[in-house]
Amino acid sequence: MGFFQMLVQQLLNGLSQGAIYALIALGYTMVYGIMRLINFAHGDVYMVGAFCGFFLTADLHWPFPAALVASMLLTSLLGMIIERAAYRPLWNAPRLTMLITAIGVSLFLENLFIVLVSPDPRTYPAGVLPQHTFQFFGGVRFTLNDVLFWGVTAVLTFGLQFFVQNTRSGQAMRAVSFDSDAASLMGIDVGQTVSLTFAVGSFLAGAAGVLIGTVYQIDPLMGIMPGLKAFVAAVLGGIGIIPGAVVGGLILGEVESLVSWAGFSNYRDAVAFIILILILLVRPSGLFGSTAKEKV
Amino acid sequence: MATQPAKIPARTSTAALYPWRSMGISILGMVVVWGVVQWLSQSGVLNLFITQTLVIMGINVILAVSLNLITGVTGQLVLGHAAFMGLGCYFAAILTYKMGLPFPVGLIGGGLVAGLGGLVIGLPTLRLRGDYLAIATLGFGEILRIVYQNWDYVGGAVGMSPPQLANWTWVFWLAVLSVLIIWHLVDSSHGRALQAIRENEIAAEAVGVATTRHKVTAFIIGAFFAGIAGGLYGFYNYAFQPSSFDFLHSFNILVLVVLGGLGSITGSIVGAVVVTALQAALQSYPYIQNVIFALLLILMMLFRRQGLLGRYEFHLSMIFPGLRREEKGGHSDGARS
Amino acid sequence: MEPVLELEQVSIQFGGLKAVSDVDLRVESQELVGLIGPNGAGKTTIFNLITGVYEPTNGTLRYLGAPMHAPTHRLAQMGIARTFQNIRLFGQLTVLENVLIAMHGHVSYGWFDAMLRTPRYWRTEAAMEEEAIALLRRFGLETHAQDQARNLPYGSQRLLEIARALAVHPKLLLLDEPAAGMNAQESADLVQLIRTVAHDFDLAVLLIEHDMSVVMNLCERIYVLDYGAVIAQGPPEEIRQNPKVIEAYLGEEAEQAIADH
Repeated sequence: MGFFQMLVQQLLNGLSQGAIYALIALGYTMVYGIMRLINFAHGDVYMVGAFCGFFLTADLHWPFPAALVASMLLTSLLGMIIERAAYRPLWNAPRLTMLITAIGVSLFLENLFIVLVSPDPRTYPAGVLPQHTFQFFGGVRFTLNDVLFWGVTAVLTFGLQFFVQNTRSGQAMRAVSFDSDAASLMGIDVGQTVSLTFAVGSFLAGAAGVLIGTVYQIDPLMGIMPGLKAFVAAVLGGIGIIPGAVVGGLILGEVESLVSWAGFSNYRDAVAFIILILILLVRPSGLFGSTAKEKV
Repeated sequence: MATQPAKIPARTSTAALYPWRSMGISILGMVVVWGVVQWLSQSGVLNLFITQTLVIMGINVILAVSLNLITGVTGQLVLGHAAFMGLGCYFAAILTYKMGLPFPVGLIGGGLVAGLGGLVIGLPTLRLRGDYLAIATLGFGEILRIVYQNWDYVGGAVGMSPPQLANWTWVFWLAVLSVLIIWHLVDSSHGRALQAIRENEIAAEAVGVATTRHKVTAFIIGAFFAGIAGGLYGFYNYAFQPSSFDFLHSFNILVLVVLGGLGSITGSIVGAVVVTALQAALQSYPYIQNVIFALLLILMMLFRRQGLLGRYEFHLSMIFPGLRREEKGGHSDGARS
Repeated sequence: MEPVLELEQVSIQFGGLKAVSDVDLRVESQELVGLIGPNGAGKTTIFNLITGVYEPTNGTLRYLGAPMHAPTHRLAQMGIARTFQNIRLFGQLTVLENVLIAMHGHVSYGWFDAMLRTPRYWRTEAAMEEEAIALLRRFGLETHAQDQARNLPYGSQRLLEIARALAVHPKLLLLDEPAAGMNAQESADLVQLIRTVAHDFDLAVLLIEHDMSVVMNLCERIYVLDYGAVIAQGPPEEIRQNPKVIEAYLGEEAEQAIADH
């Protein structure tokens, strides 16, 4: 393979990883947009999604599409429960309190799953998806799995964009995100809207979890790093901005892939945090955000 | 303005009469605690496990009190305290174990490097709003961890195995010193300025508090003591790895502070002691223990946000009224925006 | 003698919006000056410009004859103190601590004095506390010295904001609606208090206030602001009769309010 083919290969690999980051980042960005909360537990919702998919396919022998959809529904239920039980009672509390609670929920889910399913890594059953490798452009490869990643991410992203722009619930979300007091004065049920936001965000994270399970091993701590990185992706794109999260996720996936290719694979995990610190210093509102100053 | 004060329950009087008696009794009490433990563990009454637990308690007290200065007193949420601890540990090991300097020099050197780390990390990030600061400090911690992992001189992912140079005496007295210094700091004009930043940054700036400089200074001091704790940790445990200082460890330190009560120095001590004791008691069930601590953290936030002690300071005078020093603001429910 | 504060053709723009345009304003030493105008006229924005929270887009601000280029806390240390329209006390700290914090800009001991409790620490703390108590006594707050600031009644919180501002050792005091939420008696007492305090502490005062009785009784000169521009200025009698002020901007309600006094 020539340099150019290898570059295309790396970009394709990065696209698949970036798609996963994008799906998780969407949930972060929506929740932050509406509640100004970094929902640390979001990466663990993704982990729970991966385990739902595992048990449905490996133990109950469900076909993959059914397992995918069922896992997404289960994680959205989990997201709603987390919001109701842990965050809603703290609406009027200082933000620090809710942030610490989010850390607590994250640690709780991780350790609960270690107790419930053991810390050992697992693999989805072989043959859960048909395997096929495509080749083009003089040796550049991608698999049916990659196509699935791209397809699911594209469908969900555009579906979400349509939902937020064109449905009543989506408009309510935008209204609450813009100004929750005003939205509530206009008759929008803020509680229900927040609940829905968590449901939708967790739905997407659940999809990401099941997708990743078809390729990599899963374990109860698998959500930590992708969760943090997806948050970075959300900040990169401009937190609260839906297309920003997708672009941020894809950029992060590509940069990681290129850094590994350049021979710094040991520093791969540091890339996201370096990007985070640079963006916070240079342009805290992210690529697509606008700046605002605190009122005195 | 020279009218006779009607009722001033304040410090004018105590300033004149610095409580030598109280200080004497406190020192005596601490010598007794140190001596009893020292004697019992030397004579084998306390087994190694209990002695170890007491040493870890002391290290955790330093970590909790130093994080409390940054997060509880100054109101800056930091999720990378273990990174400062790691800096102290690595550089203490480099200075002592690799370069052959005496242990105390290495320990202080490690603390200074950690403080320098606080300056380097704090200067750019402390301008950020609360939750962005949290995530930025977390990011710095992870970057450092990855750097250690790839740095062969300090053992890469395997880490280092320095000799056991720290012991109960070192840890106990350094913990006492750390608590005393940070307590004094909080109870001074500088400490009040830090609390003002937590309460209302805009008003603090408007009455002449250089908010950024104060935040960075609190950061440096907190990082310095975390570095000292890190050095003690490395030289007590025989071994440490990059993963000893990851953000899960930072979360654990935060748990100590939150459970004890954000802003209360004595609360942090109680938090560190209680949590370390519980961890030791549950150490055969490490995962269940973690589930319990996570639940405790959530329940604490939901039902007793102020922590075990709130901002209330526990003082010996509550047991021995003869030691009265000064009354502070009293109870509070920890609510603020 | 040069004025304490001088604004010359000062403007500030937020995005496309000109919040303050070409404002000229002077406060002489020991002068009590009022700044009035409808909501959104840019009064608080002018305070934020004077205290260095905002940088002006155009124009110059001079304090004691020298151009002002310093961060907010430096300006406070140089003697510009303010209160806030929406009270900003250090709620969980005690009343005494609130005042002590405002003296921090002049504190004479360092971080190491604090950590090691040197004699200098004890001396300074004692002196600061004595001064703070004296200040609180002046505002009738000394019995609340050890109470949490947020537990004070509303009117006392406003007083504490002023006491805290005085602890900065100001030469220029900016008061943002100090009488808001006070009844007639409390407002009248406040006028008296501000007058004596300004005299005793040798202060120039710039005051934003909606309560016309306070402004008319207290101020020697008044600036009227509308849409970010000064539309009138002069002594209270003139402002009271200025048809431009009454008609174009203050409206009938204010006419009534002015007639009442």
